[in-house]
Amino acid sequence: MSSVANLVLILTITFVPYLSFSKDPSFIKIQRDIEINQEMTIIDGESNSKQIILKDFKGLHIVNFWASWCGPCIEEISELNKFQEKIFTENLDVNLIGINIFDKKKDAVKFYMKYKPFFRTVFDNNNTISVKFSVMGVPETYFVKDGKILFKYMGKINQQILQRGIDEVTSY
Amino acid sequence: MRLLVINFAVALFFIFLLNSSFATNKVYDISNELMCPVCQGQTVAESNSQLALSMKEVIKIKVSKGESKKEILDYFISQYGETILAKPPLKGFSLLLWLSPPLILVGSIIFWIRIVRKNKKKV
Repeated sequence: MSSVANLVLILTITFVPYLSFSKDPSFIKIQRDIEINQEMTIIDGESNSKQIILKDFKGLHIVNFWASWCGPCIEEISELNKFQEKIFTENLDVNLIGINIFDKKKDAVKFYMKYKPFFRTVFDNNNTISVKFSVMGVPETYFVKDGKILFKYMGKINQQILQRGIDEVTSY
Repeated sequence: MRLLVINFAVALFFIFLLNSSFATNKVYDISNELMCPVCQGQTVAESNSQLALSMKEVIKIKVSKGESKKEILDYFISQYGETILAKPPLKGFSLLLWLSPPLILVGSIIFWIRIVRKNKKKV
C-alpha cells in the first residue's frame, strides 16, 4: 500500500509543474466594463484622415494595441491580416480593430503604408486610451464583448491564439 | 475707463496664471502618488515612459474636469489595482510588512536580555 502511495506522490510531483505550465500565462482574465467615447483618427495613408468616435463595443471586438517601433507588432501583422480574411470569408460576427498608441502619427502612417493591415487601424489623438484599457505595453490584444473586457493577451499574437480567445469569449 | 479695462485684463491674466499653476501642481502631486506600472521604482511624475505620459494626460484631463484627488486615485486603483499607489494603505500583507521590522527588533532585544540574565545567574 505504501509503495502505491509513494508512486502517486512521485507522479504528482513530476506532472503538477507540467499541468500548471500548460496554462498560457500571457492570457489574462479581466472581466471589467469599459466605457469609451473617444475621437480617433483613422489611419489609411491619406493626409486628411477621417475622425471616428470609438464607443460602445457592442458585440464581439478584438482590439489590438500596437506601435510602429515595436518588433513583435510588425511580426504579428500577417497573422492579424489572415484572421481578418477569415472574418470576411467565414462571415464571423467579430470586429478586429488596431489602435496605435505610444507613437507619433506620422510613424503610424508610415507603418500602415509599409505593412498594409487589412483591418481598421486608428490613432489615439488624446494619448489616453491605453489607460482606459490598462495597457502595460505593446503588443497587447483585448477580447471585448458587449462593452466588457473579458481577456487580454500580452505579446505577439497568432491565429490559434485569436481563435482560442474567441472560443473563450463566446462561451460567456 | 481705459485704465479700468487694462487693470481688469491684467487681473484676469494673473488669475489664469494662478489657476494653471494650481492645476499643474495638482497634476504633479497626484502623479507623484502613483507608481509607473512599467518602470522600476519610479512614480508617474518621475517617469518619462510612454505609459506614464498617457497617465499624466489622463490626470490632467480629470483635474481640468474638477475631479478630486481621491476620485482620480480611485480611478487608477480600479484600472491597475492597489499596487499602483506609491504609498499603499496599511492593511493585510503590507501592514505585516511594515510591522515586522520593529516586532523583530523588540523580540530580539527581549531574547538578548533574557540570555544575558540567564548567563549572569549561572556566573
